[in-house]
Amino acid sequence: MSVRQPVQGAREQVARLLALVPYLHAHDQVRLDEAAAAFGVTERQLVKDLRVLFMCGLPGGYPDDLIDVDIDALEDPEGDRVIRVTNADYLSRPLRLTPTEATAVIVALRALRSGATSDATREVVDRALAKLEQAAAEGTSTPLVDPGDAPDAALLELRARLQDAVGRQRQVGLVYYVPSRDEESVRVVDPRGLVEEAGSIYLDAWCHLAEAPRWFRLDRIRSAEVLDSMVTTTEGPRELAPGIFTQEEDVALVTLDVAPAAYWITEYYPVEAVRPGKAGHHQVDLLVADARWLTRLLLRLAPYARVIAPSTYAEAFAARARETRALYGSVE
Amino acid sequence: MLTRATVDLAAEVLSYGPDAYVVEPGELRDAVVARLDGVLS
Repeated sequence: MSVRQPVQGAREQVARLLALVPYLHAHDQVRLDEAAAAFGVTERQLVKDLRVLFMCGLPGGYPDDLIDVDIDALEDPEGDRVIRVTNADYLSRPLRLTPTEATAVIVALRALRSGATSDATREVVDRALAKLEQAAAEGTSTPLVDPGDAPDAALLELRARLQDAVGRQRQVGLVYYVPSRDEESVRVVDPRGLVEEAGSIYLDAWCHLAEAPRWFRLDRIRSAEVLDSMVTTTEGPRELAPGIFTQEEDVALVTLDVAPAAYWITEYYPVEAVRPGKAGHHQVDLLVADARWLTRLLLRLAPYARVIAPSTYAEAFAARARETRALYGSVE
Repeated sequence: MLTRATVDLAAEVLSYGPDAYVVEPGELRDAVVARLDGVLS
């Protein structure tokens, strides 16, 4: 799998800005070319970043509240091309969170902890949590609300019911929400086991509708009825070692050619790889479990994205686009 | 020049494929057709 290339998307820019402020603080004044080299971007891109930075600052948004960057020094032909940032002294002050802010960060960290897949991550989160909770407790007399780690009670009840069905080898009738199609499906499954992955609980089952093994996320199960009928397939739970999203036999790796106008998809959807192409285009690899989802996405992006491979996806999209175009007849 | 709202709405309508059809306004209809023609040409 190829390494993701640095590109000029909003996500990369925010990451750069977050690193840029402490960098500039530490260096007082730094030449534009030096800073651009340090961040691995062009000088032009760095000036763009600085133009965003000087729209940041304290609430209020008045000129005195915002960070000031001497853009003239960078863009004027007579300028010395040295980055000077002022009116940002408050950034070097120790961070003080209000009780509300501290609680929000604690909730977010608890969520991160429950979804952590490694002990190392949990240790880091636990240390940050301990410091935050101590600081929050010392800084205010306001009682902090403990969001807890306990999963939803309804989810626990559903889990117990499904576990019982697994143990008694009973089929289960599911109404399941499929987010990629924004629809609910009704199906009978042979439950095989329950697993936790990335903070979510999944039912591993043989689906008689799809006639294939499927994972069902418990919080997307609208209803589950344990039936009297016995399961008709007998395979045990699948091995989770390779990861839940790499196991589906019908997941395909699709490569798209994406124009700049559609580049946002790389920040919105999980992608496997991004490679720069010609004329500002990128080749984007993403895993597709449902061809209908990809066709909808490509129609939304038209004409700024097309399938490079596999060709079956390109043909399916072209057929759908022709079908849609036919509705409009010939238009002057 | 299309407005941002028209561009966004054209993309949204297109995502439904043949399940959605723009009757009017003409500007939105033309935007949808132009995007489809851009794919099929």
